[in-house]
Amino acid sequence: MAPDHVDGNAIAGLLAEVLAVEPTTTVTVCHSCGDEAVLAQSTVVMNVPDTTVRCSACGDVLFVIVTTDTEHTLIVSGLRLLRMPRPTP
Amino acid sequence: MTSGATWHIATVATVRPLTPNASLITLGVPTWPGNDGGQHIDVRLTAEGGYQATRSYSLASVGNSTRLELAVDRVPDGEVSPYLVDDLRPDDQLEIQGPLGGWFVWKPSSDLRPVQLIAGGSGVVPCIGMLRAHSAAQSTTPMRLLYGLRTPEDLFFADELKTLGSANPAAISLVFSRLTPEHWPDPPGRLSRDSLAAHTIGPEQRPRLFVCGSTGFVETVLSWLTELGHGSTDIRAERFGGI
Repeated sequence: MAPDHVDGNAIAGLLAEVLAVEPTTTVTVCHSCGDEAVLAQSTVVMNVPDTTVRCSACGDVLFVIVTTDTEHTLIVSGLRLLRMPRPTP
Repeated sequence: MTSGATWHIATVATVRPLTPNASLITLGVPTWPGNDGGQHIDVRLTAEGGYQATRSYSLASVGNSTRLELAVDRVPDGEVSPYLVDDLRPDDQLEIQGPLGGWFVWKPSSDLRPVQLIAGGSGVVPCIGMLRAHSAAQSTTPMRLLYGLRTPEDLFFADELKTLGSANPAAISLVFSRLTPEHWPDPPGRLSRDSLAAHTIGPEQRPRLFVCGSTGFVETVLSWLTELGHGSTDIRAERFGGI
């Protein structure tokens, strides 16, 4: 580890900005086939408690959200990356 | 305008029948930040036992008003829509989240490429929002709507569409699948690739297209648009499931 490393506290601001995205225009790249699309173009099946989000090109799972009374669990199994515009000040 | 996952308490102002199967609901939301044409809200209902159900509804209202307008179709055996259509009363309170969505949205801009909206059934609601945003901005971008529906009785926002159609007859096209109004020029029939081509802006004008309706409707229209020569990057879609 580089001696000049910090810890996770340092990314509170950066990650707050990353996680505050407008979801539907966030770009996804599928881990399986590499298809690049915005999230609005994915194929979604909403059930209780699972919401499954699939690549509309190859059908593989991008991610699953499991929702209980107290928590959301985001299982990111099939995403190569997410890309979102930075908020305008 | 921003999009954000903020919960608001909405108070029902009015509920009135829009068609035999749908109601127009207006909500007062003092904390509403405004919204763009095509954006939606999530409505969350909580039952006495704590069970919660959330559904998305497009907004017909646009701009900075804190009075929101949504048109809700009754889904048979639905968990949320029958309550909203049949049981909701003025002064009832609802939890709503929004404004949501940034993809299926039209905002006024200097872009002169024409805009073609294509709606199936209650998929017309976000298109009404876009048409209102277009009017409010006095936009010179050409915008047209093709609205597919079953019968004249199912028509949402009839007066508003009639006014828009009187001002510009090319702007609004209705295609009835089962029953038409009297003296209608075309017989009833399901939308086809040919009728879609006849009632929409052609690919040579490179329109931006917005398609909203049931998942089956949207998939069918998207395949036709591609066959007609529209570019897939010019098309944005919103599917609301299998009704």
